[in-house]
Amino acid sequence: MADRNPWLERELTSQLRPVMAPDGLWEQIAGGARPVDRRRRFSPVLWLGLWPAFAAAVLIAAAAFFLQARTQLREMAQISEQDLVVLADPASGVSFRSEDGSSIRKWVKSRGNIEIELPPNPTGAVHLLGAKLVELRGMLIAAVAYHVGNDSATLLVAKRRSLFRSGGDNSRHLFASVATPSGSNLVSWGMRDQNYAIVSTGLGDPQAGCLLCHAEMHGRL
Amino acid sequence: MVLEETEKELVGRCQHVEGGRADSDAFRALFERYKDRVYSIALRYSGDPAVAQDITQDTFLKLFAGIGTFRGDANFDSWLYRLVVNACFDQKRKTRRLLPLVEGLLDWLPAPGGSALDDVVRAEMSAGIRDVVETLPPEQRMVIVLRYTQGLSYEEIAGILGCPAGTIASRLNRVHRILERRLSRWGGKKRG
Repeated sequence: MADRNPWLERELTSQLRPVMAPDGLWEQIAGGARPVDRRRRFSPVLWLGLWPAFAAAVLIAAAAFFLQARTQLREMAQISEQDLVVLADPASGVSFRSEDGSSIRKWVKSRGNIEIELPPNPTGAVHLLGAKLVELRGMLIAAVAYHVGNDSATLLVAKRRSLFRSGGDNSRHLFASVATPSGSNLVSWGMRDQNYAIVSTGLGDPQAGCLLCHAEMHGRL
Repeated sequence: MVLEETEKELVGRCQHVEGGRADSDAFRALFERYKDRVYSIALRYSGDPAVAQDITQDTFLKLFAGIGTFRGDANFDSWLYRLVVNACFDQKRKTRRLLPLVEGLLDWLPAPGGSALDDVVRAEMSAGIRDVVETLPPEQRMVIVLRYTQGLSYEEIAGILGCPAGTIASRLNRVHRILERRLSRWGGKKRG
């Protein structure tokens, strides 16, 4: 300790100082598990009697999970289109500024464990601005901001909680909705194990935002 | 004057089961006594209040479930620290800072008596420390948290993490070197 930097010691002590726990934690804990008689021990006989109930519970859980997986294609759209438009508001800025697709991809992957296959150097009218991570209703969403010409667009990506991976690397997009809430263009879809949405403002064609990854569409829009 | 219940008495009440029911008041009292300590470690380790709440909940559920096996002659603090450390390591959600913590924002406010430049330098150094700590491997980060959030000695940290005190010292030295290198551009070394 003698050779430690006193300034650094002070900074670390200050930065990592203890904090007070938030209210409501006890209610979470008490609601999650009531204190029980811990002298009760595992009983093989009791377990044998309960296994049909356990099997039924597993089946019900599997069915519920399957249904959930089916509906999660529309998960991002169900967050509400207005929410997505607010998330994508260019005025809210980005946490990580970069014009390089590879850097943005690495940043989002390292901070949010979300994989976004961005072209390293978008061509044509597309100009990357950066990215941020936001949480909405328990879902972590990566937002990549970019310009298409003079207009703004944001690609939103969130992981689906599905165990089922559909398709391979070439799986096609399955569009869940195309809408124009609040005058913004919104296109959302599911692909492999992630949900995607593009919110754009001022773009004449809602699919112009797709130019970020599909430069070959340029002549068709 | 009401004497505060000792740790040993409180733990004993939690272990006592009568008529198949545990003393829920004792559990609540134990929680109130240690919640800030557990939450602080969890928050400083994860950097994310939501993750910290999950870790705190997990720690206390394990504590309540296992308190019957706790030996009265053992050190309760060490046992609790091991639970929260394991809960932190078990936490699968990737550490992330979704939004700046309130105190992170407060760091940017000018401190009374300091020049604007000092405030900016201080805020940048603070952010630099947080960034470095957040990117440390789990074991190194935990050493830093136990040392500076709880003020534990090398020997205490070594007992909790199950490694020699020398390992703890070398981990701390390594982190200090990283931080000094990272923060030297702000003149941190000269401030000591």
